[in-house]
Amino acid sequence: MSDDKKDNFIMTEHRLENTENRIVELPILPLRSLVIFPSGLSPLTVGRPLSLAASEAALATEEKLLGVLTQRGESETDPSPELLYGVGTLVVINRMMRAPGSEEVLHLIVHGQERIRVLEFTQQTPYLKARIEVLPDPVRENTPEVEALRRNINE
Amino acid sequence: MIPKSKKGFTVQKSDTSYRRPSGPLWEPSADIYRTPEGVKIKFDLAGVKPHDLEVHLINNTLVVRGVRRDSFITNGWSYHQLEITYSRFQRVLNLPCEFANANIRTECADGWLVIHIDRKD
Repeated sequence: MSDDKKDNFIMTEHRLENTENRIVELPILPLRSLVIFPSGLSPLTVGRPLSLAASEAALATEEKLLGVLTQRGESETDPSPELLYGVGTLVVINRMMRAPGSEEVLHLIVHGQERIRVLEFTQQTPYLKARIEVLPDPVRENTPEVEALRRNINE
Repeated sequence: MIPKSKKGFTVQKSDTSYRRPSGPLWEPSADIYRTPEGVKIKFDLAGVKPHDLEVHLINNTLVVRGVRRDSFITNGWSYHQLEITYSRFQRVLNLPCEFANANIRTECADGWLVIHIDRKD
């Protein structure tokens, strides 16, 4: 490479990391009767103590990343790890505001990013925390039936 | 030996296709100016550190990707309201023409990332 080229195309040894195939530790937000997919934006209202603590922990980080897992059944207020599905979604908190007059309710808008699988829970109080693995994109058949199902879920 | 920039940007020119990371990312706004020398592209990227940015030019496609981190929040603080989007972003732009032998220069000032692509005539 000529000196001229060196001036024009600057390169560094630093490379941005992709979360794909990466293992990270994240606060976990349990969801009742809701699945968030790795696309689009979802509004969430957070009020349970475990969920509030997990959201506050994620907000205190540089990238605002949170793992969301759907819970089996709706009756449990503070679900243990056994009551959560093992596959969920990595989300970014894009917007947050406290409910007027209440410190104990947060309104969030989260953006689904990637599918994750829990490897192990590393903490249960004051909020759930887990080591998770980012899963690769599933191979999708491009048939009219699959496309119809995808649109049905997204809507 | 890889030459290092004082500003820390990563700018690469490649003929191979660029593989997008899985998952949707947020997209910074961009203005493209046509100038007598070529084009200038201005990205709204306040708060992004130069070493958290990558710029790729593949034929006439410009890819800017990186991560905006909240390095302002401190132990003991909590949010009352969050409106700024953090985490990974990516913007792919098709430029009006190919710049096979162009001079490329990046500049970061006042919250803008400006990429100057000048024809080499």
